Amino acid sequence: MTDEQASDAELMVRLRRGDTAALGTLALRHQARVISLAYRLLGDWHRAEDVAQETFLRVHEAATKYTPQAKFTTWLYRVVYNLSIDHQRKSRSDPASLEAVEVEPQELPASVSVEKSELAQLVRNAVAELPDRQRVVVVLHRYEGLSHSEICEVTGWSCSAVESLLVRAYENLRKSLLKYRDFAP
Amino acid sequence: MEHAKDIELIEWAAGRLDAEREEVVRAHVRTCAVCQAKLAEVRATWELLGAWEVPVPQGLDLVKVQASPDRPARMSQARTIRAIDTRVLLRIAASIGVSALVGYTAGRWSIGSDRASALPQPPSYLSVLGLEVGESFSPLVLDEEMPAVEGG
Repeated sequence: MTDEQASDAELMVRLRRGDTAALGTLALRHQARVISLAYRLLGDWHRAEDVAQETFLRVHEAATKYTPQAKFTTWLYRVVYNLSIDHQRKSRSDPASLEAVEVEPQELPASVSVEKSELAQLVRNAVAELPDRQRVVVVLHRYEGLSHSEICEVTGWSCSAVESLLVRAYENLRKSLLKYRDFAP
Repeated sequence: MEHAKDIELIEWAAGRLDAEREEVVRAHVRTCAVCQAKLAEVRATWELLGAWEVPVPQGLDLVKVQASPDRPARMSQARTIRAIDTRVLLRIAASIGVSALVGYTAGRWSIGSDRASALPQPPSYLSVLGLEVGESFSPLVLDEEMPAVEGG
C-alpha cells in the first residue's frame, strides 16, 4: 500500500518505524487544515505558520510513542490548539488571561468581489471579538467541522461547557452579523 | 410545550444532529413559530459565517522530505527532513547535537558537510506568503538511514 492510500494511523506506525516519508504524506494531507485552524485562532499568518511547523515537529516526535487509540485528526487538532494557546500566551506575556486576538487585515485574492471581501472581514472581526473560549469552539465547530465530543477532546473542556459556549458564541455572532444577512453567500 | 434546545437547532443547522433526534426536533419545529424563527436565524448566522474563507497558499510545503543523493548500494535508502525555520531549529539543536555526537560515533548519523555548506533555495511558499528570507534562514539537513522495512 502506498503512502497516499495509507490511513493516518498506518502512516504514524510507519513513521514510528523510521519511515520519514510518511511524515511528508501526513503533512501534505493535513497542512491546509492545520494552518487554517492556527490562523483562525491566532489571526496572524506568520504565527500560524510557526504553529503549523511546530505541529508537524510534534507529530514526528510523538511517533515513537504513538498508539492508534483516538482519531488522528482529533489528536492533531489538540496539538494545534495547545500550541496556538501557548503562542498566544507568550506573545501577550499573560499566562492567566486568554483575550480576544488582534485581527490583522486579511488580503483576499483579487478575484473576490469587494462586497464579499468586506463581508468576510466583518465575519472575521466578529469571530475575533468573541471571548477566547467562545471563539475556539466556534472555529472548531463551524470551520473545522468538529462534533461536540471532538471539541471536548481537543480542548479538554467538559461537554456541557462546550455546549454552553457554542450557544453563547452563536448568539453573540447572530447579534453581530444578522444585519448583514442579505449579503450572505 | 417544550421548545427545541438551542444547541439542537445549532447542530441541525450544522447537519450534525443524530437522525433520531432530528426527527423529533423537525416534528416540533413544524408546529412551533418561535422555534421556526429561531432556526431561521441560526441558519442565517451559519451561512454568514461561511463568508470567511481562509485561502491556503498553493504549493505550501511545511515539511520537505527529500531523498538524499545516491548512496552506496549496500546502504539503505536515506531520507532527509529539512527544518526550515531557525527559530524551530534552536529548540531542537541541543538534542540534535547530542544525537549527532552519539550517532556519529556509532556510525549511524552524518551531517553532510558539502550539503550543509551550500544553502539550498528557500521554499517557494515563503514568497507566496510574503515572507522574506533573512540571514537567519539556515535549514538543518539530517541524513537518516531508513531501517529495513519489514513486510514493506
